[in-house]
Amino acid sequence: MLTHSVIADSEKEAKEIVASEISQARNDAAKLIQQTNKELEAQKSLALEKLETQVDELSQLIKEKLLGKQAAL
Amino acid sequence: MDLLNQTLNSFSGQISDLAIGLNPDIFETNVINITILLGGIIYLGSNALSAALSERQQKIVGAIQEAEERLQQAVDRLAESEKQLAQAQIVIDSIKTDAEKTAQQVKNAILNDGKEEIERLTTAAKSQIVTIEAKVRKQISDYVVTLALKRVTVQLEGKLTSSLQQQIIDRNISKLSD
Repeated sequence: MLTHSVIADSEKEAKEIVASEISQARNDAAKLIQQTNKELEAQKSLALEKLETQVDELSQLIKEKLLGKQAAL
Repeated sequence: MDLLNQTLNSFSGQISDLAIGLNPDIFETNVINITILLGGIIYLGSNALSAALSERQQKIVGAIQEAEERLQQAVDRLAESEKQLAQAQIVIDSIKTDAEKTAQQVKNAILNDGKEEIERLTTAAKSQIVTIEAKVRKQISDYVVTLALKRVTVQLEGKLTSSLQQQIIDRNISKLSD
């Protein structure tokens, strides 16, 4: 009886600690993912704005590849 | 004080009136009979009293011995009980120690499982972040390429004559032969 009680108490205590830590870890992970998503969206918008200027250069390169340098000009 | 003196005088007068004294005649006073009777009573009575006292003494001695035996038995039982109690206490302590040890092992096992679960969660979260980053990079790349191709298409609209088309085909064929 005493033995079972001691083991059960210890098991219960450990399970409570683990449940609490896992819950905390899940919350932290969810927050991290959410934060990362938000930051990536912001970086994506910034990157698209910056790349906008390079699209013309890329278009020119595509034309050159397609038509040849002289014809592209 | 006067009253006391009067009372004493009155008593002394009364005693002198009674004429009390000793009778020296042995036969008249039955002294011999009384002495013989007393001797017989003492002789017979002493034997009976002695026997009764002896019997009583035996009973008391027996009772004391019995009580001493019982006391010894009780002491023995007490010693045996104390010995058993000590052994039981040792067993209880052993069980308690084992229980605490097992409890600690169970606790450690659960905590280790929890730690591993948290590590899995962390790894999964990191992996998810890497996947999201790759997805965003691809989105950016696709967007830029699509936009560039759209612009090329717009620029070439109306300019892509049949001779130009033939030129493109020839050019690409020549590249294939290279």
